[in-house]
Amino acid sequence: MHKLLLQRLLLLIPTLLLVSIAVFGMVRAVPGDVISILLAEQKLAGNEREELAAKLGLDKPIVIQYVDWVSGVVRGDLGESLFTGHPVREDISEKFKVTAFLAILATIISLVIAIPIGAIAALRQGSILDYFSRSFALLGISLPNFWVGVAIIMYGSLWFRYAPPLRYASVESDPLLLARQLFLPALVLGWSMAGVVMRMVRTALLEVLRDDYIRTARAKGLRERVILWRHAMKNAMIPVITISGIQLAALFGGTVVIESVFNIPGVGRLLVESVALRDYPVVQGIALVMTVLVLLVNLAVDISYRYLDPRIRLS
Amino acid sequence: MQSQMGAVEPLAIPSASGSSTGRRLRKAFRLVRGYPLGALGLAVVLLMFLVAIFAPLIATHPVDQGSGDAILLPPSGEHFFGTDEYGRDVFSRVVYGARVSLYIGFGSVAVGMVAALLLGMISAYAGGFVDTVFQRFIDAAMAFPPLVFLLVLASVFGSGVWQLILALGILGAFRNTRVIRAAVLSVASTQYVEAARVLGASNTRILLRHVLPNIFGPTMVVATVWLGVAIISESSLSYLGLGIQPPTPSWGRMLSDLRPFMLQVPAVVMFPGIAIAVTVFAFNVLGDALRDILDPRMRGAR
Amino acid sequence: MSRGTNYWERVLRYQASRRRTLAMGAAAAGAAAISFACGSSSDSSSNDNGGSSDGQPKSGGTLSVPAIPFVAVLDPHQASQPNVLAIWHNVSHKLVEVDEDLRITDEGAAQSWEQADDVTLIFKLHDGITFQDVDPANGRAFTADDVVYSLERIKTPEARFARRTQFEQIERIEAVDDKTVRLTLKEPYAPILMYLGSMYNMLVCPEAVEKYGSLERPESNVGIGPFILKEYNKESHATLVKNPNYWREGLPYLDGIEITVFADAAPRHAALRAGQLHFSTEEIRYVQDVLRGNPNLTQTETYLGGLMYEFGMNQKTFEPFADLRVRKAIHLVIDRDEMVAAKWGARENGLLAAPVPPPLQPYGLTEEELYEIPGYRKPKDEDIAEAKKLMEAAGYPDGFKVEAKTADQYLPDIEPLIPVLREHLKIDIDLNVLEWGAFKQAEATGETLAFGTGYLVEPEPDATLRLLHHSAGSRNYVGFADPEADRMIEAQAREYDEEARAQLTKEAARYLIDQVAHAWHGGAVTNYRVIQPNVHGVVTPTANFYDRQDYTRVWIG
Repeated sequence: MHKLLLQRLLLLIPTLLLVSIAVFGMVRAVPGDVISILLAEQKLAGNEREELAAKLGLDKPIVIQYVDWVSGVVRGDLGESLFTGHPVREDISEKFKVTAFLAILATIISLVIAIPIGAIAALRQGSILDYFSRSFALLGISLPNFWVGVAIIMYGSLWFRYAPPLRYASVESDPLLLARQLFLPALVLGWSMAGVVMRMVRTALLEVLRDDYIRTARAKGLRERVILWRHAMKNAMIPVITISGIQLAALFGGTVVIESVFNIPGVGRLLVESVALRDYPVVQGIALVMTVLVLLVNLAVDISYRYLDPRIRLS
Repeated sequence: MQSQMGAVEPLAIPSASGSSTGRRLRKAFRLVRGYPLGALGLAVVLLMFLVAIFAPLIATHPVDQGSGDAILLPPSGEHFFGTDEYGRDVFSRVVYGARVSLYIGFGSVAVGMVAALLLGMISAYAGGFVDTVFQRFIDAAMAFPPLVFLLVLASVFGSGVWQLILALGILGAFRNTRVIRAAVLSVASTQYVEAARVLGASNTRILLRHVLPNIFGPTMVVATVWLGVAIISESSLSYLGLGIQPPTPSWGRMLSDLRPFMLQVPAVVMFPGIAIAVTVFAFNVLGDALRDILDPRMRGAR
Repeated sequence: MSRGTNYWERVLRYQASRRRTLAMGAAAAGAAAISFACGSSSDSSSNDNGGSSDGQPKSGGTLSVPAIPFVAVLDPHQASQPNVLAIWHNVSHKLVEVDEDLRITDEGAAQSWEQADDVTLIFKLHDGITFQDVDPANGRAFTADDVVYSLERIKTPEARFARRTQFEQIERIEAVDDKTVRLTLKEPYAPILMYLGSMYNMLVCPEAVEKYGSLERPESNVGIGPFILKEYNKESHATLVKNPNYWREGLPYLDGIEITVFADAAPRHAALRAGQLHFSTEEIRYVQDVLRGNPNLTQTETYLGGLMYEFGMNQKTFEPFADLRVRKAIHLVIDRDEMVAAKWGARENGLLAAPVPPPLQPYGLTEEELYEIPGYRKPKDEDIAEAKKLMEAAGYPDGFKVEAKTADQYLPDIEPLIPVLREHLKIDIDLNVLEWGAFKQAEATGETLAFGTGYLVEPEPDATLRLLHHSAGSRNYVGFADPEADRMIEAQAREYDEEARAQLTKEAARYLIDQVAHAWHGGAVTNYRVIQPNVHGVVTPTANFYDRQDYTRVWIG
């Protein structure tokens, strides 16, 4: 098990390297550069561009720029924003915390919605309750979440004088308040993810309920409910955790819409704006951190998967 | 992730009497009764297809002609769904928008499926080192934030129907390669394939004649889900400004453009949203029903 | 005083209250000192827009206002996006201020000014101006030398100093003594006062520039204004606090200002309804939504503001556009009324775009005058027929195909034009929507054949005329170069007398329309300022709605 863990961690390195090159290259591939943005409204005179390029370190050959960046990253330095001059790490760390908080909340909510519905769908397959609850979950993935968010805000402010907070609390100082503030956006996000998880729960439960394993347990005469909760759920959790992990990972990049609609100072918005401004270090930094987080989450999922599935553990 | 298919079971249950058409009809009724939600989904999907195909006949007004005096009108006999902020008829735009949505949905699924099939089959079949490398590559690709990918692509190639199809298709390919690979692996280990190989059939032949038809099931299921995802993604991208560009009407773009007027003319703003919701919901329940039908383990739990 | 909501009323008000001209003309010999003393808050009636005005300003409270994102460049002298002004208009002042009636006032650093002769202006600063007691200025006295420094900086002959062309006519700026600045022009230059009061031309802190190299860092945003920048987070908010040592007695009333960035209109509208924001500027077509169901009614103000949209025809890169007949044909078929109405809901809500637009009276052609000119006049049948003939004569009876680039935010303005051009002239536009940065670069480097873009109207006619139509104009992306036009543009800038100058600007405008330098189509916007009833003292700018984001005299009742 530990050998496996070590192996996977080591494999992370070439993956990360690949990703760093991809991130670096992709951002630079975009036409229009930061200098043109800085000088957006003016016709550019020859040597002024060069001076600015030199100041920003953009005149060195691409490979050198890449090496500079990577060597900085290894030391924990993600470079500086081309616009504000602030260290990228400072700029994005606070926002990453907020986005991560939102993503985790949303995932929890999606599980809270999906697991019961999936269980109902499996246990009461074909009943009215099954159809209604499944429809509810599927409705979540059928509605564009920006629309749901906007509708909530528009009608919420109209009927209840609700508005998203102007300032969100900080994760460290007041996580409870932040959780309350993020509840609605997390709900919207969670609902939009619940459908997929619900499917997994239903499928996994249905599969498991027919399993020999369960038949054996049943033959031993344990009560149904015990059977269900102890064996079925645990085994059904495997694919659920897998898919949740994938969802959570996907969320890291996908919260920008909700962040815009609810005015959350998260990393999604920063990403979009930085791409528009061609602020390479910020974009690279965000993309890299996102990818690392995703890979770590995947790793955690894999490990818990192996831990939870007795068949795999024993093999 | 996805449940694996066992060997293919013949679905047709020979009945004692009656013509083959009668048999098929009876089977169809049985399916509809057994899967009402899925049948409904199928009906809606077919309806959308018809709407898309016959759009020129169904639409009541030209799609890009706005009029300064007809702005944001509520639904009426003249404008079934009302008018948008330029005075364009929303009903006609929704009708033509069906084309775009289906186009994007099927286009990106096609691209994604082809890519996923290729990658999945090659990876599973080649095995060993190639397989591991592909797996790692897919892992890395999946970990890469899709938003960055889309933003960069949009900035480099602009945004339009083709760009969107390609971008979403590639993203879909990454996510679905695993499923395809798993399905291929399971089929490849069946007796049919073993037998064929013993008999000396070439790999290509095996792939085409045995593997492909048998992974049809999971492929279909994934495809229907992904269709829904593609349509929803298009609307989110439109919100960010990266979606379909005018004057082509697209549901996502309409939804995004109309949202500041949500309180003024709620009825008008609802329609593109309803169109999206209904279509995506239909694809999803259809996929669910297909999954249930094709996987014997899903039928009748107790 | 209630503000007229009728367009014609507003136009007439401009004409009546115009007192901004410089002096006399050739006949005047000696110096005439004109001192503007309209600065005291109590008699400036337009400052009061609160419903329940019991008149006496109260101290305290924090003003909460929205901002839009993309504060790309924090240096006001280099910025081209107006969002930076939310900070700078409160942190410092300009040399002179321009009020909502386009009058020059002493709300800036200058207490008075006089015109010594045709080419010399002498400014006297207020007494006791000090910098904020913040590093690196540390509360030191503000002197004429600082004015010289700032103005020279604006003039820096480098591309990134976007408004240096405004001050090109300045020969010399010098500090006569601690409180007096003398400005010597190369030749008579009518726009100079308006330019000195232009919203970007802030007075900055020399030590900050030296220390930080530029004004990009929030720490360098130090000035002589009533508020101090305490916190700045590019994507989400900025916080300003009251300057306890502000040199104007008793001001500011507010304890602070909270600026919140909104990426989307929905949360902003919700915040207004919920009372989290004190006021916001909204486009007319969204105001309905904003005001809906809001029982504690928010006050609204209307004012004309400034964007003009053009269909850019690059004469240098695309041959047909170099032919006047083709340009004219395009100009003739555009139905401006329709385009404005289509975007803004009604013709009156928008601006009839022209080289000097109608709100800038008396320098712009009025709407009546515009409606007599081919291209603007209604009905359009004659013009459309003429346009078709012109296309034939130029050799394009079947039109042509051209790629047009635009950015996402200009898209709604160019979109309605496409079917029009196709229908009448068979011009097939292949629209390529670029992302903002890519588009700006393409525009600036001339890598376009046709493009759709917009310009902010400045209250000074010279701005649109020179920047967009002069062959050396820094925003003349279409490559229009006409020596006669150049001559006319230069001539109007030299004329001090308002009436005479108006003649020249109108003549130039007519000529430029005739030569179709730009195919103007739609124009902005009557915007609404939606204000909570307990907020007073908000100045509502006119020709440019990004101006006057200063809250010196705002108070919450």
